[in-house]
Amino acid sequence: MRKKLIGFILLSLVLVMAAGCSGSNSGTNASQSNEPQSSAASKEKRTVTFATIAGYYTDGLKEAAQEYTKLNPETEVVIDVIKDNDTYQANFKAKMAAGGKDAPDIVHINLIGETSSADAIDKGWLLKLNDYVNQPNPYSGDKTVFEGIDPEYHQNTYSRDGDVAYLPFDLVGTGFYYNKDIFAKLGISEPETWEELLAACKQLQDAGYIPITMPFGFESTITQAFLDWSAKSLYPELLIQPGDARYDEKIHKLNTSIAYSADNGNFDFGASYDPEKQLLALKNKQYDMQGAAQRKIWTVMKELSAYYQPGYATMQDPDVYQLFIAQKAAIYWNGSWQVGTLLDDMKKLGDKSFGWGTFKFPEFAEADPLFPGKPRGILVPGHLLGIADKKDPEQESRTKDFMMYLYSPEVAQRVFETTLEAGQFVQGPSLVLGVKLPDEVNAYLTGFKVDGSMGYAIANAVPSSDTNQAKQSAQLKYYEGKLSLEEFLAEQDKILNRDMDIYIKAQQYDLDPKTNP
Amino acid sequence: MRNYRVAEVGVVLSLSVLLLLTLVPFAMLLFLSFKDHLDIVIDFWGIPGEIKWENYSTAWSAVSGSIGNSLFICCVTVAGAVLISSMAGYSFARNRFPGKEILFMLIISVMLIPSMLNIVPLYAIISQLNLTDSFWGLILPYISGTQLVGIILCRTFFQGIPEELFEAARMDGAGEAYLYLRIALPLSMPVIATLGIITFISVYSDYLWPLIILKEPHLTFTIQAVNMTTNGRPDLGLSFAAYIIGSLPMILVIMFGMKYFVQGITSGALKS
Amino acid sequence: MFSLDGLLTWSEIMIDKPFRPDRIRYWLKAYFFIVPSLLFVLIFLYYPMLTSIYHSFTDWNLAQAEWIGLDNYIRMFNDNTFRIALSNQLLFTVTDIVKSIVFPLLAAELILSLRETKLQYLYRTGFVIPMLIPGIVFVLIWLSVYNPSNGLLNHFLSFAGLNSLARPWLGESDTAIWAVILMGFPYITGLPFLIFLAAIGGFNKEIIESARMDGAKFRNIFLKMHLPLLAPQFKVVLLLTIIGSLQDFVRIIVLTGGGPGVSTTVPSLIMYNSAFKNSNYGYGSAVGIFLFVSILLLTLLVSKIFKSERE
Repeated sequence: MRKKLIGFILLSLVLVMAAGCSGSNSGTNASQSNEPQSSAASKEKRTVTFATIAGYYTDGLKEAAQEYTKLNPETEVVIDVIKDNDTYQANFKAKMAAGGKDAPDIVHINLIGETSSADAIDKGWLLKLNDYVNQPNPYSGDKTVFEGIDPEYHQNTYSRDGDVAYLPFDLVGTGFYYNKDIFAKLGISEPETWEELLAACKQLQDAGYIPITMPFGFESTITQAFLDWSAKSLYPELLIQPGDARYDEKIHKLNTSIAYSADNGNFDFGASYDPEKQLLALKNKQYDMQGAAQRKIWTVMKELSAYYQPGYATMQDPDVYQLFIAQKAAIYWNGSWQVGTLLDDMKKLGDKSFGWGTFKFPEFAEADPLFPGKPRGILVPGHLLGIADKKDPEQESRTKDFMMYLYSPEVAQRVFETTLEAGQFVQGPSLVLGVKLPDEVNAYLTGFKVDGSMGYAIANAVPSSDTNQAKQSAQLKYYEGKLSLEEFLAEQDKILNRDMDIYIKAQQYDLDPKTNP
Repeated sequence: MRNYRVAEVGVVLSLSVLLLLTLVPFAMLLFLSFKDHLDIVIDFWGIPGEIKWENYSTAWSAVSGSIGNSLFICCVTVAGAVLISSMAGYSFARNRFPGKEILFMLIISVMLIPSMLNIVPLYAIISQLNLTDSFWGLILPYISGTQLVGIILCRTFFQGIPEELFEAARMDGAGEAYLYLRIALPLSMPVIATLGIITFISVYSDYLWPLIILKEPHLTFTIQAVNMTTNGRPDLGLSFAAYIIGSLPMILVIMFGMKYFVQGITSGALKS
Repeated sequence: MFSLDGLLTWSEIMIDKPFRPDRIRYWLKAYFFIVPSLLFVLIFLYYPMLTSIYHSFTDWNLAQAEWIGLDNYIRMFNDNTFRIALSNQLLFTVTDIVKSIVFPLLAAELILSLRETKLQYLYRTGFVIPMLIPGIVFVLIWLSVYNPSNGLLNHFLSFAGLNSLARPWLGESDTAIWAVILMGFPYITGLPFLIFLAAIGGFNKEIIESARMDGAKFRNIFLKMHLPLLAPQFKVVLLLTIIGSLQDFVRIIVLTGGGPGVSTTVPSLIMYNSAFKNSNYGYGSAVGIFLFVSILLLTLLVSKIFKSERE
């Protein structure tokens, strides 16, 4: 027994020592690279970290990072690829809460889990890029940073407080993917109205297919598009106008020229809304969450839900995608980021591949005054790059320089090309001026081209992340027939009102747009 | 005698069924590790058209370095946790001193804290100690966390050792250190083996904490394995092959630890 | 485990034996054995926990915090979702306890009833192997078992001609919670199995053998001799299971995300979502502290039960 014991201890010691040697070696390397090796002649070496999620332009960004370091040997750019969004958030938040010195320098602000960019700036997590966007970009012939980005989308980058919080890199949209082969076999054409879509679903179901599949969390993009459709005439009343406490001539001038037009899907382009007016619209039932429009929306949704994949309530994206690509489901509602993935997978599938296309959010067969004009969809800046506020001017200037490099037309073009060559996803058209996508990709993106990007003036009036589960629970009960339409709408309204009161209290709003909260 | 045989066969049969069911996930892992990613996506349970051996060579070159990192972290944590918890467990079991139960409660009750809740404040501490991107930023919290189960196990175990064994040594004038090192520790191999296996496995497969603390190229095995990609897209087959490769050191640990575990039992040291 | 023992022992010592140098030296030695453990606990566990307790009285969003008193706790108890989460948790904990005692104990008894040491060793090692699979992979495999369209379970049902029983197990509110509970059959992995195995293997074989010679049936040996002797092990397994059950949300996040709706959500998942997804760290901390207190009370209860049974 004792001999064995000594043997055990010796062996574990040896193991520890052996592993320790290799471990401590790498440990010392680590500390060396972190220590500034400043000398009078050259600038100190720094590392700039760009945190991204697996698949998001990964190879393109890595190539750009290497090229940049070749040009600027004193700055090493590291692309930190994190597996999933949950981990991305935990990682960023824990590090910022501890002061931020180890946090990534460049983040996707749409992935950090903050409801608004203003909140992230208030917390001291993101830099205001107000001056930066007007600085000349040496990598693109000294045009300013903003001059290199599609001007139509400049307004999107402003937070509710009027600060520039991020640079947009590309557009992202939602649409219906469909299996052209199955549609052709059953003689179904691309649906243009909801009535056609529901009839197509019935036909698909009778033929033994799952008519439509989506991750349930993604369904809200359909209901929000409906909401926008029925509420958009209200939007001009909610704008920040001269005389309001929030009005700032420099940022909100555009608001004064915005007028509603049912036929112009872009009438509200660049609008900035007053959060208190948005809340008032709900409080005073200018938009009634239990009104006729809502009843129609949820009647259609209940009909549609009968065609969802079995188990849709908890099924997550990989399993949903599997249904579409294995040709079990014929229609797939998702974002434009799946285009690159589908293109790549079709190549790999060989003889099991199939023809596919995209179609737009349908209209109603008969025009309904509650839903004026055409439905709009989402086509908004997708990849939003912000800079973490690490309270370190040198680090900041290094990061800003790399961002300028990334936003030069040549580099951005390379990022897109490398990404497509690797079969990773490109979310949509680039917003860096001068970048061109191949025709094949553009053809598939047609289903995402909408008559204008939908507004969120009503949909996002109240941030509601904590009660999402409760809302979903009521919705499922309604779909399953355990709640009537009226009961469901009342329940939804109740939750919304409670959220609203909590939010108003937290923001200390007095619900008077003329006064500062 | 015949009845006894029949019973024995019944036991073997039911154990085999249970074992088979228990091993299904592991077998699935092995099976999937030979499949192409798209094959898995389209037909999870289906038999692959072709066996993809390259998963293993690709996975090996991607994770081999990180296995060393993980082994170092695990071994130091196991050594630390075993030492500290057997010491504390010994004292709590065999000594009488003021405040004993209160101290024990004080130590054990923190185990009840949801560990997720501690992540943010703990990161702040590690950051202040300048231990980010260092293996010690993992090892120290790991030792604190894993020693708690250890203390409970060791205390329960040491309480079961007959007092006569210690009494005899005390008569001969042996001190506490001697009693701990020469009597308690050698007898506790089964407990130490159990504790070692549990600690090793939980540390080896931890994901979130190392991801927050470490940076490339000092990542641990699990992070590398989870993040296996082909052309920047997640590749399940590759990830599963990496898990199989990475479980080899653990299998060795279990086989080795198991031997002591079994010996401890059969030597009868535990007779109560 | 937790009791007033400490205070009693102390007063006992004080009255019986006044301070004497050798006694103090003995105490110091005893403390010396505990100090390393205590230091680790104080720095890496207590300090973060105390900050969490503080945060639970604030609206900390990881950047700014304002003292809001008991607001988080009041909100928690008034929240319907939280109440559903509590009743789900109760069901999960009770079933987790059953799973962690019945099956591992059964396997341990069966293995040790074998005569062949080689067979014993084979089964022992075999049952430990699944511990090697990272927890998340284990859950992912079970997710595929339950997959409505190509999962093993529905395939098996249609193979057995029971097509009508096939359903999206995780996607319907009636079946989801039971699907999560039944995940992992036959539950013979990990610590409980090893603990029972070690304990039963260590029992005095001669006494049990002589009882067997006297014609005692296996059932009687198990009920009258093994079960009472296993009390300390039951206590450890019970405590570990309760702790694990109340803290674990990985299986739920992967299998159902707490859904459909709220039908499988648990407090620890609410804590995680509030703290990390919604940056509502103050509220998340309050739920976390609530969990801590409930686990503490449950462990006290368990200790009490085992104490009174022993007497």
